[in-house]
Amino acid sequence: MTILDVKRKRDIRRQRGQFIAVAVTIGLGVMLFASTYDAYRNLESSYNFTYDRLNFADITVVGGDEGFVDEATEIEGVETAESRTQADIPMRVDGDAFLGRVVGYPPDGQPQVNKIDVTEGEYLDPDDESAVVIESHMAGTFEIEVGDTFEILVGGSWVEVDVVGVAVSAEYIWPARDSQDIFPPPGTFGVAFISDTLFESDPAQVARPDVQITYEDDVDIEETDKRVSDAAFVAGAGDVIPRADHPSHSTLLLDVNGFQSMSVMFPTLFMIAAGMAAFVLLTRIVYAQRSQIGTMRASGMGRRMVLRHYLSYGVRLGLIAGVIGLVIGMASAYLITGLYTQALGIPDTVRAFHWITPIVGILFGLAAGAFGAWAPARTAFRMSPAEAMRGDVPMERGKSSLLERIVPPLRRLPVRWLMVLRGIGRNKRRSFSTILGVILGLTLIMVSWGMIDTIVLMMDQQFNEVALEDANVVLVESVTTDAVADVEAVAGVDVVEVVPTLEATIELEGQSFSTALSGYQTGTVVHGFPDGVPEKGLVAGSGLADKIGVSKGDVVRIELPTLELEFFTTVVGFVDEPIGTFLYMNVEELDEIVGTELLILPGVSALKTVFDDDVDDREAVIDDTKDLDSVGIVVDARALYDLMQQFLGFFYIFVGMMLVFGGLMAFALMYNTISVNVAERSGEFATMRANGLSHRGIAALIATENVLLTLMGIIPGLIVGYAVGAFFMSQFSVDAFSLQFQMKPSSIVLSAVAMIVVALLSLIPAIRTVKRLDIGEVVRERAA
Amino acid sequence: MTLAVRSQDLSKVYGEGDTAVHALAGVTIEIPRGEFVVLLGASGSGKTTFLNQVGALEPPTSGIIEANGKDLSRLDDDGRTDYRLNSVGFIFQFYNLVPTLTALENVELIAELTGSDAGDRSRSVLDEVGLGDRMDHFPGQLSGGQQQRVSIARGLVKNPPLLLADEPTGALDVAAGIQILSLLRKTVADGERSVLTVTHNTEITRIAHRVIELRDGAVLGVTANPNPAGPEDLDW
Repeated sequence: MTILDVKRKRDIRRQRGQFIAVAVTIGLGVMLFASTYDAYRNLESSYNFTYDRLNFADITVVGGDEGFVDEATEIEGVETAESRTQADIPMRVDGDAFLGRVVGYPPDGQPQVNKIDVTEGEYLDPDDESAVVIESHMAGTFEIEVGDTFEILVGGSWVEVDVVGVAVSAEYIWPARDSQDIFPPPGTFGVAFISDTLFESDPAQVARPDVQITYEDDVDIEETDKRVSDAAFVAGAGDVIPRADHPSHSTLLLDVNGFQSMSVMFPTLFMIAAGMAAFVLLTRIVYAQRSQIGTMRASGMGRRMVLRHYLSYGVRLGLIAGVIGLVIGMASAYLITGLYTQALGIPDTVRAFHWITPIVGILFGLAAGAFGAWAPARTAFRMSPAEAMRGDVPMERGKSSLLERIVPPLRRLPVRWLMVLRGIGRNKRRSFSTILGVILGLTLIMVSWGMIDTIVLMMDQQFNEVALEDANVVLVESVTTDAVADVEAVAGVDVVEVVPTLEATIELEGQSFSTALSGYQTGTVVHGFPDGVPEKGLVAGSGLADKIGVSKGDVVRIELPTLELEFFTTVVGFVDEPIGTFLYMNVEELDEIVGTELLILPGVSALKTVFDDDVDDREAVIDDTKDLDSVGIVVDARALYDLMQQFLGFFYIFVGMMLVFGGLMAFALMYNTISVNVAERSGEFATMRANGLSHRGIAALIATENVLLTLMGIIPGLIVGYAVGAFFMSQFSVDAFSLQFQMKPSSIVLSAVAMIVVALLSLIPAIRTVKRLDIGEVVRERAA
Repeated sequence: MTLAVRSQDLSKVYGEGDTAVHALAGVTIEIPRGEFVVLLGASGSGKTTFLNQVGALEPPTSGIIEANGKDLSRLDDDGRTDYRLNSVGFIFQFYNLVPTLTALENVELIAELTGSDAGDRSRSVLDEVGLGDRMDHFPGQLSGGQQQRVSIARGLVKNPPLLLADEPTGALDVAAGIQILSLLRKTVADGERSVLTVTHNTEITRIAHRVIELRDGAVLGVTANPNPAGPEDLDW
């Protein structure tokens, strides 16, 4: 170890508080990078491992000619194509009915595409048509075990089936019903893999034939998707779902993408803050050591050695903090991956070592340190030894503050308060650094807080302005006036409306989108339409404008694949709904197009009910409705809202951590700038103290100056924070929802207040320094 | 006579145009090797500027400055650094010690620049200046005179043929000042090393072999002193 190394070590020890602040910021940045990046890569690998193992389809073709499965194998890039049938039908477990899904599987062995991983029990039995394998989420939600039974509604009759196995499916790692319904509330959805002979013997009326296709290795996915889609639509397919749009996969990708975005955005904020904090600190060190630099240069030390010496403060700090952050981050990623795959029931957990993580992590740390140290080191490099030894020179020329020039009466303020105003412009780098600390800290806080607000506001809009029903009721048989009257008669039910909902594909000039079409009556109270339900024409979710470029007045083609029907209609308006992009028509017009005999089928129309305002026991109303003979399924429409409220608990933990990190980051930067401020002005403060100003008086000057700087940073911080939050949220977008970043005014105010609190906290060490200021020592040190 | 320093028409101008300051205006001086030379003058006379020229801390505006036979005015930055490393030692009025390093480490810091045995050479030179028992003390734990002795040790550790001192006693009391001057005088005893010291204290001229008086950047006069007094005879 050279004496220069010893000097650096002791310099760092002498100002350990400030160096620790920089190190913590760098360490947190690298930790966040390593944990989120590794978690993102591990999750991606885990999904892909499961997909490969179970041969998850690269594309699914819905509907179309029976012969398409053979045609598909001839398409360039296609490896395997298999057909199968699935249907959404009522199921009943322990008397509680819900709309589940059955998927036909060959009983004599696994299919080639979309295999299932039987984790308990056995696969289907070719000799036992009633044997079913249930998907693991269904087993968990309904507490069904191998050997249990439940019922499915086939051909209008409840048929008991035997659970012979529980399986994991790549298609249902996230148990989404479809791309418009990715959050089915617990107890409202389940998937059972049944013998496809059951379909053949008694096909469900709403059964959907699919072709599942996998691609050869190393093909161009987009090109092959296009080739398959073109051929599928020629063959009459209703829809094609590439893997990228698969409801489960695309929902899981939200998290992966979220981790990916976080792995870049949050560490970048920390690195900027750490670099700035290091810059302020090292600029002060270089300035304070001018005479030492001059002496070293006069004694024959080369410029480059001086440069390397001061650069090494930042680089070594970045390296050490980076390594610590990296180790903690990679260990966190290991834990996060395990917890995440366990929580979501992902069958495979892949925790790979990614070389890129330590390389980029260390580079992140080094870059932050070097970025902060470069300018001060370069100043030292350029310093002429003769100039450096001329002793203290003022760092800046004094002048009136901008405020004084704009508001001249301010010049009559007591001089010590003029000092506060002039202190802001006195060292622009330092002031900028404090303001930057506020901006970066606020950004992190607002992005995190905004996530919560966005979800809360979205849920409020969805459940209090859009979906106004309390329950959805599916009848056992066709909808009749008597059945509706029975439901209306249930105590606590205020309104009942018949709402048909059909799978639908909207198409405009070759662009199509598959969703659901619902019919509502004029003046409906079960769904919010800001402009009411039109007599004629189609109202579409506003997201469709982006998806297929549709505008008001366009004539579109609507295809209803389950009814093998199509018609043309005019788009008369849009609705802005947070969850889903649906189509709406007046139920009377839909009745004219589809025909009453089809519209009243139980698989098509449901009853949406609104409860009396004074209902206390919602469960009782739902149970009473279930008890009606004509009722098959009752879904509590508020269950999802309640579920989301529970999930918010996890978000609060995440946001709480981010608030702490954001506060720490802002604290580190402000603490450093304030400490440097006090160090630079120790002579001034010592003189003021010598002349009788109390340390409280000096503390008030410092506090006022820094609170003013904090206030100056708050407005740009709120703007930047909002913009970054909006960008971050735009990464979370699937067919089912697109998150528009929103913040409650109270959250914005609280974020700003949080920054002021952080600013005041960061003053405490500096004020203690002033309190302990030894006037004699300051004078002696300055003389030396 | 071997010359330690020679300057001819040496000028140094700071700034430009109306604000130009002629710190040195055509200084021509010859300083023989082995002498203790005092540069005398009032504040602003150009003493420190001349010292900086001899120390190659900055290039001249015009003229020639030579030290130990080397034309310093022709050296580039690396050349000047190399010259300072091998040919001169500096002593400053306010010592310029690194407060986070002990006395020994302050000397070693410079000794390390010139090769191995930095520790041994530093201890030896600190012994020479009478600080053998204070080597592990930090500057804050030393008196002003002791700190200046560390500064001298730092200047001597490279064993340079030329020692440049800028007001070495300016911050010291008389007794400590005399101790420092004694040390500096001792360094020229072998006739191989020269000391050029800047001062505005006329009493110090009594121990010099040669006194060069500067005024307004020009040489006012050079006085040789064949029988200099001993530092112990000084009082101010």
